[in-house]
Amino acid sequence: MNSLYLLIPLSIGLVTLAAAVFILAIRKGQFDDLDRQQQRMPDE
Amino acid sequence: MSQDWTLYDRADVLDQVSQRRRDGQREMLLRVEGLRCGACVRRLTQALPEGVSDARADVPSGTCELSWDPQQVALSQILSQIDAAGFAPAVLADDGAYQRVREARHSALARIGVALLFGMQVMMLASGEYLGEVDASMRPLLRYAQWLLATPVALYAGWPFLRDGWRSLLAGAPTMDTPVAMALTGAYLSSAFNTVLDTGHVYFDSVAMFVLLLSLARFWEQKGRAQAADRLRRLAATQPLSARRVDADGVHDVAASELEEGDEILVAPGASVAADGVLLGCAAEFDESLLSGEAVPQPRGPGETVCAGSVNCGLQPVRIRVQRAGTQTTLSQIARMVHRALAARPQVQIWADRIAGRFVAVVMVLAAVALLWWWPDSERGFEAALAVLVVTCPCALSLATPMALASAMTRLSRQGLLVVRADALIKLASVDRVCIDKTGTLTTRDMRVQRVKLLAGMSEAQVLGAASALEAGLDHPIARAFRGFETQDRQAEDVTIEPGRGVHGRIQGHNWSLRAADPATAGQDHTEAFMRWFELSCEDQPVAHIALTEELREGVRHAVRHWHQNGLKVHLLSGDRPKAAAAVAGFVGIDEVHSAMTPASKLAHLQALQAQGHRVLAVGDGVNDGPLLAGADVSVGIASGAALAQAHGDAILMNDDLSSLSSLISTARRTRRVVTQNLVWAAAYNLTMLPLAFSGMITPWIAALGMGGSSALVTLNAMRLLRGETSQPRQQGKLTGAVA
Repeated sequence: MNSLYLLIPLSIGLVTLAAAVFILAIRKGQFDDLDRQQQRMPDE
Repeated sequence: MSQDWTLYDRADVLDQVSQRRRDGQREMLLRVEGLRCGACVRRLTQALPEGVSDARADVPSGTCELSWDPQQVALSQILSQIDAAGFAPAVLADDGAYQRVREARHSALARIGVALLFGMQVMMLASGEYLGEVDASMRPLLRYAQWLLATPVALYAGWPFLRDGWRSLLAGAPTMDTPVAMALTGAYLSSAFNTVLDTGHVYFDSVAMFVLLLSLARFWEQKGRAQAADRLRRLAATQPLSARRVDADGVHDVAASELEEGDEILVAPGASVAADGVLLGCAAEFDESLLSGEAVPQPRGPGETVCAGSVNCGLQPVRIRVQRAGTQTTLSQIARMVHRALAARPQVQIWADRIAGRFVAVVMVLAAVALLWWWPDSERGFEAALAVLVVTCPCALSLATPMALASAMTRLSRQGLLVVRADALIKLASVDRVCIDKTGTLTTRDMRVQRVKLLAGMSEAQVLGAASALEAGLDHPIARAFRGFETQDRQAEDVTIEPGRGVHGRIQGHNWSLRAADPATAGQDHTEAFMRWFELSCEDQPVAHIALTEELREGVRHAVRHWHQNGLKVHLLSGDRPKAAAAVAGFVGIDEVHSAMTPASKLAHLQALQAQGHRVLAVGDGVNDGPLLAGADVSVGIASGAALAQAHGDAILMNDDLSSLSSLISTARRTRRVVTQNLVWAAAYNLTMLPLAFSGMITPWIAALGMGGSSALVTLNAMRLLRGETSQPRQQGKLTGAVA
């Protein structure tokens, strides 16, 4: 049970990192247009 | 013609066409001519100078989104390099509405992400306690961890609900957000309290679940609106922002906003007019399809009015004396109407909020009564009060309608139908009459050669070759009809246009002309009434009669058949001649034809139908249909036509295929059914759960789960609208009628 003292803070750290990456991706506009990209010409 | 782009470096013009970002960069949307494939995109990207940080070109809409650092590179330099690379850039006015919508979307997504990621952790940690597998010694750790994880969920992801809920309560007008805010605050604070004291229950998991479900619902609701703003922005082929002003000392490029009444401007062939004004000098032809939906270029004589946004179709530059410029022009008034329509809240939502105001007051009183009822057992009293707030959260009730509407709107937008006003969908379900316009609605604005009658020993190929040579340099529907008939040896010289009549020029030394044929001289067997006859003559001798027809839009018959199957009666209201209208109506199978109608008589017809108790759907396009569309219960405008139709339309058809309209009615009816089911379920759920919660039989986590389950049910039911019959292949980004 003592491992929880390590694992819980670790999971909190990881989830914070994941949220930060997600927010960064949103800011970069990666989720702006999910519908049209699939039809776009591949521009190499 | 090399243009002076430095105009766009002026601060006021720059603010009009681009948006400043927080990091100091600027971004704008540019219409780019000649963007056809991936290779063009590559070429365009390579043409951009240093300092452009991002360029996202979109081939279907012919637009490019640019971000650049104004410290490093001037807009004029970017534009001139794009121009030099062979892509004619056209700058659009941008008031930042799109950027605001996009920022709202960003924060909504971020909130969902946070609620989801942190919420899952909270629920996982909470599950330990529910399962009873946890040592008492571990409990504080788990609870503090939950508190830490639930805090961003409650305070960041749940912030819009907390803010709106408490603000509206303080303002004395509680909305649906108020019990949400109260439950969130209560659950969060009491959990924090119990964590510190290590007693009682914590409800962080309920908080997280609650916020996640509510944020998702909000996001879906917003999505349709964001799409609408994006599409309209890309469609808005607004009036040009620069003009060539004729001053005493020559011609200068100036900002359109600088133009004043009385200025004289020069409009090059193929360019659009920057301000409303009167034509000076010689007669000319203008493509006003943006304003009126009228296919054929309109002849204008000296002294007649020309609207901003219309395109000079002639071969000569024309001079115009400005009457109204800037925000006063007809075109910008139309643009404002579109924005107003977008900003309006759906009626359903207003109605829902009004109900919520009363409902919420009752819920709050009940929660208070529950608290007192269990007094002095404050723990149970608090749980019962919380359960009442959560379980009766009008979440399912408030989701019931918007979710169904959002699904239906998404589905329709995939078929090219953009619903601007969500109310329209509810009203559509009870529509029983359709009034449809002919020109520009049933028919496209393109024409094609239908029949050729040879009068003097020439072959059809020779005749059409001559006609296409005469029309080769022109760009309007009649000229386009002759494309593809060119022959190598025939080139027309000295082509001149007689506005409103036709063209003449020299081919291989002979004088040729192509003019509208007088119906009397064109003979009696020209019976097909919806044909438009032209006479081709050589040295004043008629050589051939050529008939052009308006092309019917795709899917017209399909749509009409579908309407009939759904029990709707279709009326054709046309301004055209009786024969022409009847011919088209007969072909597509329309019951009732009214021809030679004016805008006023169309409206009168519609009002007569409404007076008889009918609900009317109007489908139209063009300035003629403005009153008709505005007067109807529900209206559909066709976006490839006049901008005014967009302004009035409750829904906008984005492509040329009318068969998407056929699914409109059935989708609306299914939507209404789903909304009813959802509302009945939500009401039944609330009526059952309320007494249970009040009596303390439901703990807050069961309440949150019940609320979640109920919302999920409602959402899934609404999602059914996304699937189902007659799904059509997607057609996107087809931009017709866009005049740059």
